[in-house]
Amino acid sequence: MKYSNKLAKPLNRRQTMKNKPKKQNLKKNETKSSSLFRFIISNAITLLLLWVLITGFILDINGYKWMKDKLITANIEFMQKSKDLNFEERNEVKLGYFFTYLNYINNSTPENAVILMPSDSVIKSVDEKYRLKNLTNRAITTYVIYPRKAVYKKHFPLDSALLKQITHVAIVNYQGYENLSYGTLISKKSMFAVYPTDLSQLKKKK
Amino acid sequence: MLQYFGMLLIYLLGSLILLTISKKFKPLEILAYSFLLGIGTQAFIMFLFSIPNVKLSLKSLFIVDLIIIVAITYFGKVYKLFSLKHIKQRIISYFDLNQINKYNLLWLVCFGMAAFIVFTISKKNLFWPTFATDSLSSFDVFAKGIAHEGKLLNSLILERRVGYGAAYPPLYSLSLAYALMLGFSSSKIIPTLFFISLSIGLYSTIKKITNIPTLAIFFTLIGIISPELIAQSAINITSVPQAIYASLSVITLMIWSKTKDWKYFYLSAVLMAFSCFIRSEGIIYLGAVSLFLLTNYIKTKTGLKQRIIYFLISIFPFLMWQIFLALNIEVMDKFLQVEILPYLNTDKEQIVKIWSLAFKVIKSKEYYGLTYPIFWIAIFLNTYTVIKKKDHFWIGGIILSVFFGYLILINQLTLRSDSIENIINYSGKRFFFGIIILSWYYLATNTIVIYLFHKLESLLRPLKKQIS
Repeated sequence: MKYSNKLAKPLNRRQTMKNKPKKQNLKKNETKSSSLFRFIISNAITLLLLWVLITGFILDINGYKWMKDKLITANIEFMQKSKDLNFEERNEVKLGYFFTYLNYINNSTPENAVILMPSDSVIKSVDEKYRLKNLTNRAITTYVIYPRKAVYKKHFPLDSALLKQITHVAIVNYQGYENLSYGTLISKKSMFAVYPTDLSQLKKKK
Repeated sequence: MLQYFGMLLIYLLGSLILLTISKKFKPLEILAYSFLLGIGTQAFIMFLFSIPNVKLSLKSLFIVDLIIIVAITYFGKVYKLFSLKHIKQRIISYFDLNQINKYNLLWLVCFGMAAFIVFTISKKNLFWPTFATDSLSSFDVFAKGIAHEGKLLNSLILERRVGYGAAYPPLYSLSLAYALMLGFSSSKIIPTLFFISLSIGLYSTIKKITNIPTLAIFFTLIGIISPELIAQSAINITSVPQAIYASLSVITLMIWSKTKDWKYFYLSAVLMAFSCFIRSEGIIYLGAVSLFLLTNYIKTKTGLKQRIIYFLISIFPFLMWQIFLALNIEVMDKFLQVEILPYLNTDKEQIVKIWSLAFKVIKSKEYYGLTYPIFWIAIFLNTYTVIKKKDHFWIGGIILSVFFGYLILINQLTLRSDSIENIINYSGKRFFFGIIILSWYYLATNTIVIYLFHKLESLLRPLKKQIS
């Protein structure tokens, strides 16, 4: 009895030791596969819900639709198409002929130039396709031509001192030649140009 | 090369200031706030140069920066962070496997989308030169003058070749000037880095308070795509940077309120100071936050000294600017666009007009997408938390205070060259960017939303160990 008792216990233990891991492995495998299944399904459903939320609801709202179509997609397409544009050309795309013309002035005058700009009525007489409206704005014109100075007759109190120091005259829509002492001598008139007030400067340039 | 050096210097300056506040800021937080603190400090240094009309140059700025960096590193004992032991500890804690377990496929998809949007907006920002009228006529042209002549009171101011923006607190124009001084062909690197800082900052703060990365990235994504906010992030004006400073200041203060971690309290104070140093309306946020701090003090009866320090730090740069304006009133007066009535304007007709116009703007889905209905949902969901736990009240309170603060301020204005209708219809949409960011944070940190995302996160975990 004593012997059998002594034997029985270790045997039972061994049996349980052998059986237990098998059962546990089975359970483990079941849990593993079920948790893997749950993981795949829950992720798939969540991503599907996210896709429905974004495409079916959020992007249907005007503001978000504009952001997707105009701000993101249109810009990506344009940037890919125009990646070779240099800094000046990008400015021209955004600011129109206003930038092209003022950039031409930058290239044709020294940094200390004081330039007499045309009147608002002359600027407004130019076809809208040139997008010259900003030329009437003293600060925005300064943005492009700085450190050159733009002088407007309409700002007379502010520019009165500078009117005496004018070194160049901006020609817009064939207007402005009357502000040059030698204006009548120029036979071939341009729609857009810039001339020095001093005739000798022009001769030197030529 | 100089450009990279100059920008790295800003990040270094900002990160050292942050680490002086506390050495326990996480890498993500350092990445989010370094630029904001660095560029704000650099602009303030440039402003200090301008008070005695000392000419700015890159050389003098770099010398001052390096002196500050050495002083902070030594006196703030930041050098201790560079020990091998500390770096090792940080790396180990950063790559904690239990934390990695919190990331899942949804996080990855939302992160991918957010990263794509931030990248595209940054690319767009850097591709196009400045073209927004307000920037061409004010901030960017003013920056050109500062960079070229080395003075805040330059020929553009004296000859009035710049718009009304010259009278705005000068943080933004000085930042743009710094970029131009470094040799960037366009100053648009500045708004680009502001937007990147917002995205990381919003993510890190939501993650900090909820500890659920999936929730944080989802609400960061939805928050940054608010249509008008993202559109104006890609142009060169002050509204979005001011909203970033103000909203992150309020959010970090809310983190302090919840965790009692003082580093967020002082970070909030510095961010608020820069918010008031970029646009005067930062004062509205400071007013709302001061009300919160006062009420909080009455309740807890502790930390009066710290609250006074908070207020002094926040108001200091703004006060300096006001003194500068007063000292140079003869030159600067022509740039002051508005006058504030010294008495309370009780014109009922105007109040009704302002209210209806502002309400129309804030409700617009074209400007702010889902933000307006979301705010009311957040209020509704938070009612339980507010009543039962007496928690999460103030963030909603601050949002409403700021909104009404704007209306009161507009009502008090006498405009020199514009009408109230134009201000609200055309500029009004820019006033509320800070509220938009705060509203999304408000919803993201709501108890019910946290509970739902907690459950969702446990469902989406790739490893066996589940949280219930």
